Amino acid sequence: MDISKPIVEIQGLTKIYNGSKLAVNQMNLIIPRGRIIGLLGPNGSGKTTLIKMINGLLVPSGGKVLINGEPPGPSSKAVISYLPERTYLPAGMKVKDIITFFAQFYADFSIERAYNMLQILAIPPAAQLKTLSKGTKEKIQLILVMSRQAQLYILDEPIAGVDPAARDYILHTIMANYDHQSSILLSTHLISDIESILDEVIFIRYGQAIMHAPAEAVRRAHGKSVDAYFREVFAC
Amino acid sequence: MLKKLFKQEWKSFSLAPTITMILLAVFTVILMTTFMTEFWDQSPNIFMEMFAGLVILAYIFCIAAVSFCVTLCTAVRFYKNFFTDEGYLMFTLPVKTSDLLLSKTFVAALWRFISIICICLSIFGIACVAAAYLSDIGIVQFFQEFFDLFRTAFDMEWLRDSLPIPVSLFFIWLALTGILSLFFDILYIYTCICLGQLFKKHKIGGAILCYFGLRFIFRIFRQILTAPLSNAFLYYDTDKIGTGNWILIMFTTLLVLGGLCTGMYYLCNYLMSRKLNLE
Repeated sequence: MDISKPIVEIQGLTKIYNGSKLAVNQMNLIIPRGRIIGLLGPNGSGKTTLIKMINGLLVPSGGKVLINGEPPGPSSKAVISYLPERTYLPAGMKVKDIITFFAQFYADFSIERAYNMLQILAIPPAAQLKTLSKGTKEKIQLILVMSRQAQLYILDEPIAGVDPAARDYILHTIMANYDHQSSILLSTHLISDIESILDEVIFIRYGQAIMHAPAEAVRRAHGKSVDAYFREVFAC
Repeated sequence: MLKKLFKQEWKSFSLAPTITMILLAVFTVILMTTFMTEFWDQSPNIFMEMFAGLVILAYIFCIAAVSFCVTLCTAVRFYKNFFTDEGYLMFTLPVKTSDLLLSKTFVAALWRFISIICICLSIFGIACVAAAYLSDIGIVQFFQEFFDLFRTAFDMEWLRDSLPIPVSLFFIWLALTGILSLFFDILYIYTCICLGQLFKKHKIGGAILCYFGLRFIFRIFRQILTAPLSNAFLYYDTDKIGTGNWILIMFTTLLVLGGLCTGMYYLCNYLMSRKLNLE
């Protein structure tokens, strides 16, 4: 691994669904190391599609994604900790089982950290996943993702479905648990809630990255918050 | 990683087949007990006969349930693990797609094998006890006679005379064909599910369509392949089927089955790694 190189390089990336619907269009992007980056765009702009292609869950129609200089595969999955926008936990498992599962497969997973976070959130390790609410499952997924010492955390809408109190806890968890050598790619609509933690922002529209700049530079250049600028750019 | 995946899959797969096999074991023991205690002889009447009929029917359903349960688990677990939301967990594990596929295939094959053994043991146990009971000889004596018969069967001259190849070779071929058939059945289900994912809509419907469509194609293929030999088998004549032909038939069967298994495995692996589109 060459740490002088960016963690993710995206070159001419394209995704066409069902032969006609263009979701990501000739995108070029570089995700540097040690930064918290907001992936911002309206619904249907291609954020989730882009994230899935980085994680190898969608096969690009064109272009390429390189993680540490390699296409998505076992080596890239070992360094990316991904929180999807949906619940993927197998219903038949217990909370402690899924923690053991993660510990078995991810060398960078910390069981101690996971149990610590479970205790703070008062989630019983012996609880069956099928008995838990959607919000609790989302919190467990976040615990699983943030209990890893990954090089890149990709969080797709991590605060969308939770109450404001949990939102604060989630942001605190993200900030407290990530290694500052790592990067976080955070996709959300709720920009005002996360703006304070962002180092850089990427604006996406019609499957293309229309802007990639430091958050502070955006604020200084436009004399307003990133949230206010986003509303201006994407006004309907 | 393959070992870890295998362990995890074994743990997750086991619950439903184990339950059905325990049910079969309980049913088998009850049926054997009824024969040993001469329950059916106590008050023979029409209701008792009807009851006996119902018990046999329930036993047949139990056997079918064991077999069906393993097949259903094989299909459902593969689809659910890879092509529903759980796919987000499985496909982001730092493992090769081929390892995911291999672990699933081996666990399903092992469970299928265990289910076949359980069904055979159950039928064998009941048949032995029933035969001992009907022939009015003790169970110990029955087993002695049965194993004597079994031993004699394999020593019999006719088996060696009827087969133009060594008997051991024939049994090795039989075992290999059985093992390959196990893998064929499982990979066939996986292939259909993977092909179903290529449909834009109604992916499960697509998989079912592929299941029957491919079955039809394979049947035609088999008919074409076996047509030249069918006459020779129908009018069994050792002169027509000499040693060379026997070996050719055996080799072709293994080659075709092995080739189909390998082809389906690579097709699944290709579709799961190069055509994956978790929406």
